[in-house]
Amino acid sequence: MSITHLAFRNTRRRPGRSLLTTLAIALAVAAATFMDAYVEGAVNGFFESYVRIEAGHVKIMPEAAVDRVRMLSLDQGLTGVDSLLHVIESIPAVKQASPRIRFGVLLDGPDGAIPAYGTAVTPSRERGLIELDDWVSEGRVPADDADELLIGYELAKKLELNVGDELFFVASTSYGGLGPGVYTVTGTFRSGISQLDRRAFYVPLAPAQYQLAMEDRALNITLMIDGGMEAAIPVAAQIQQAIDEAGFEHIKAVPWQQQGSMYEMMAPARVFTVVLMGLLGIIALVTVVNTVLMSVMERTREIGALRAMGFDRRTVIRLVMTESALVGVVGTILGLIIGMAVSIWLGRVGIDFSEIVKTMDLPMNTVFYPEPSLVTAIKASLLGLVIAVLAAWYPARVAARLEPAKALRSV
Amino acid sequence: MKLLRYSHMLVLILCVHIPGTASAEKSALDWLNALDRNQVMESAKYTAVMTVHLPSGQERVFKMKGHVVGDQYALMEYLEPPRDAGTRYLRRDDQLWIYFPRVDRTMLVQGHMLREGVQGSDMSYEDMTQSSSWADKYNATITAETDSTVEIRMEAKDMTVSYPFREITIDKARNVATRVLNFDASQYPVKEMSVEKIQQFGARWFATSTMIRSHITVDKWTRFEITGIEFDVPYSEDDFTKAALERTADF
Repeated sequence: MSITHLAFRNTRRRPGRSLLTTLAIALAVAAATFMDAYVEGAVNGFFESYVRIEAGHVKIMPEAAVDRVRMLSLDQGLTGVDSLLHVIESIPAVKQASPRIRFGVLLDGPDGAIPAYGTAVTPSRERGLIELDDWVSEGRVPADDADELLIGYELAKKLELNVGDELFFVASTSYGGLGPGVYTVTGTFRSGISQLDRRAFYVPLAPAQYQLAMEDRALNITLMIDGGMEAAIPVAAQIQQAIDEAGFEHIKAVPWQQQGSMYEMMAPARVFTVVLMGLLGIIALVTVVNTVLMSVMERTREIGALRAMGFDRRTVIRLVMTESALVGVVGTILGLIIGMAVSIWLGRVGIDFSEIVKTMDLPMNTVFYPEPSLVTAIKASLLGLVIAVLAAWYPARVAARLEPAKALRSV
Repeated sequence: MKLLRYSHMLVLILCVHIPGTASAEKSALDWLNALDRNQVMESAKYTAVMTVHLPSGQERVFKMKGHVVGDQYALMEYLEPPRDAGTRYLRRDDQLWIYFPRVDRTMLVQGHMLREGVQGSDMSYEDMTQSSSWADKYNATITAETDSTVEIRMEAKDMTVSYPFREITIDKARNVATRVLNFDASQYPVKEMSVEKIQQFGARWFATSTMIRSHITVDKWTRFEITGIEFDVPYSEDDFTKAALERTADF
């Protein structure tokens, strides 16, 4: 009878204990699978919305603004935007280029002033970036050059604005004066990003440029490129070269990873997953060590008999570890099935945190979609198998050290 | 017509000398009262030019015309540049309304906006709306005095005013504050106003060119020049209403 066959038979002799071990491993693997998929989904989702809404794959901005991406004042903006667009759009890798201006305002609400911020964009240039069409909850997206406005549904509610109403507000111009504007509300949006839904509105670039005294100017030009997020750094270098060669000075093409500290802030999230996986592994390991050790202690006479029949110490170790590995494989498969199933299901329906964080102004999507992958499955499987093998090591050594004569005399 | 006061904005520019008020024995409070009296004016009509120099080196020039009645009512309209032409400001007591002809809307300046610079200048909307009576708001002490000038340090009775501390230099012969240094609550200098030109109109002395420099932003200043002024213009109270603001500044 082979060791594997013997080990397989042994795992069935105490089904309760084997089931406990299997479940401990399955639970750890399922949790690790879900956690990895969740963090991967959350980080990727965050980066994706950060890129679409804020950073683009690459952003063209004034050199002076590179270190303070979110704190630009209007007088620091790009000049000669039309010429700059001409240069940028001649680069084959550039799929979409959209000049943007963000500005803060206080809007008159029924209960007092409400701080808000407007983003001036050319809606037709935002395809692939801010998909305003997808966000519209009522009405429609403003036309490119009209005095029209799309507003976050919560902000609209606070201002008691409906589609078709006019919104008058005064913004600070690029030179610090007052720029009045009257816009017709063409629609409301639900972005799923609480900060936007509560505070933001979108207006077409052309009328906003006049209102803000920024004709042919913008705070930045946000780009989508071929090759996506991974290609941002080399393409940014290519764009920079084209800008420099065209004679523009003090203008930088900055890939999304190098804008502000968002990338650096979020990157450790993956390290955090590894740490959590390690903790999960340790908890599962302790449980499995206990059950395997108890199993060995209960079978002292049997192990003594095996030793008396000629099983050497290494064979006993192999036997105990094979038993544990078999349970580990079953637990891992079970855990993977549960973890992947839950992750795939939640990856479709999403995990909605909007109610929990509705009072916070988070600049990110509050619905997370776990992203299980082959890498997730491999990582979780390794965890399950490592737990099973490591957990058997000490009990196997205990079993191997048993003296046959003493073991046979034990009760 | 009863005596009315100029808006604080014009205090900076239209400091009036009433001959015979100077005296060697005046206390600091006497000097402030003298300045307050000199700021008292029935009415005037003026044209002015405001030049705003930004740290970027950019300069913006605003031309305007205005009407004032004491420090209760003021109506001002921008004539240039074209994008601001026709924009009108109405001050009634401590409230300031702005009419934008391009969008045909009027707004009340309030809250944080009061501390913003007018057209990016170093003069805030609050400067325009606060009462000009320094004697009422500040305790004052003379810190230095020569034959021609007196220097006074002022400390606000209520620290919520725009400038809790001020240092002023008064031209004793003409009763004009030729330099005003404003401090914040931590006694850090924030803004300095210095008179560059004083002109006599009949028996009155006016500062017709005033430089305002920010001590917070480097290389930022505003020059306000009176290019024409006519005193004792007959106005009615109805000329300074919101309806009048939205109608015209020509009366």
